[in-house]
Amino acid sequence: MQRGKIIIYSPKPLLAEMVADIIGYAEGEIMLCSSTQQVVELCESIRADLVIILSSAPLRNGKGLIQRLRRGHRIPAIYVISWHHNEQTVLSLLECGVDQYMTFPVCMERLKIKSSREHNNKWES
Amino acid sequence: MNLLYIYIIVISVASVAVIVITIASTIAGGAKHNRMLKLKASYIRQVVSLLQGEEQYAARIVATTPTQRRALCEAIYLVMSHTYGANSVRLKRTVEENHLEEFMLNRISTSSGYRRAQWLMTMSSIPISLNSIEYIEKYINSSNHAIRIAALTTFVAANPQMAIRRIASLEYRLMPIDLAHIIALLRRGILPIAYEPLLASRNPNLCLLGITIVRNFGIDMADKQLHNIISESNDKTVLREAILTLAALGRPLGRIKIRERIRAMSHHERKAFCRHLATEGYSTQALRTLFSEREMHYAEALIKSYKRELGCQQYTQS
Repeated sequence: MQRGKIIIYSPKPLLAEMVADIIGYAEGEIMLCSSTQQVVELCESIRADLVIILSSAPLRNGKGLIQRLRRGHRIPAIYVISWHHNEQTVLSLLECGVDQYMTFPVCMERLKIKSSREHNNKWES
Repeated sequence: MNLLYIYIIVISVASVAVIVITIASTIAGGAKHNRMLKLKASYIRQVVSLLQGEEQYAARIVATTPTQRRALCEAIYLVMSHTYGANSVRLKRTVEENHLEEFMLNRISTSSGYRRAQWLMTMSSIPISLNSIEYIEKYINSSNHAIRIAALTTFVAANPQMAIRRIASLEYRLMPIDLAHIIALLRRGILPIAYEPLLASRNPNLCLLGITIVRNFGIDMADKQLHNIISESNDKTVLREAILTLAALGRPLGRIKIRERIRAMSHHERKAFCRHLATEGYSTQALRTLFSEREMHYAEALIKSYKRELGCQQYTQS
């Protein structure tokens, strides 16, 4: 069975580590990044299935980052998890091309199931 | 001349020594920081596994030295404050075996200022005993704002049954940041509070908490209670929050009482409210009933700004 490739971005390394632990390293090949440049480069080189961004700050200027992440052949699913609850912020993120928006505090079980479903779908399709 | 040479040599040696010591301490500090990060990452992994139901990890989480205990406390806080749905009772054994409660109480009593607040906040993530709750309660009336809100958060998290009574007895007014801490507990599911009795309360802190819940969870059904507050309350903060919440819910603001309240606001408050309504997507027609002709120029400029125009174009195209 092939394993999915997941990239987790957070400016706080421990937070990214926590999300990686929740998803479980057994679920896929998980890589942690602390800069957006690193995420873009990794995404291009390894053809990631899922990118989890643990901050809304990189998407504040619009969909530039999402376009750069989806430049390759394999189009990764993009999840954003942040503390924002504002409806307009969430709508703007979804309009930018984010596939799933979740707010902190996040349900461990839900996050695990969603990410697992996402890269399983990728491998089936 | 000789003295001058000696002086220059001594100064040069001293400067080189200072530079070497600084570099060495920076390297040592960086290495210590990295070790701490690794330790915390390892504890985070164990705590997540424990909370996800892997019982075998309960026996494995061991912290014997103060550094390890600190790392474990911070790891638990990070996991618990960013997640919900996990049974925190699973942590009880780890907390007891590693004496984390005593360790944190000791740190709280020996530290001061923001460090004390930080330890109090960290304590909100672990199950604690009744004695500790009583000890923490004394910090709720601290003169330091950060300490008192951290103590209140920990008290409310540890003793949710007494939350409303304790908030009602506060001698100071809760600020938006304080309410945000309580809302974070609500979102983690450890503080079951019904918003309706809070909105009917005469206590400004409870009423503000009720309004914040309505706004955060977008409860449309609270429309009637918000109108009651607007027509009956004389508290300026409560009134302003009620009107802002009504606007955040996208409700009509044409009622006579609301218009009267808005008219009674100061110029700056009206301007801020106007900005709020423009970002919430109210039309110029809706704003015309609330603001004067002069204020409408400002409102129209806001609504017709580039971003709003773009939004309108999108809607007309679709």
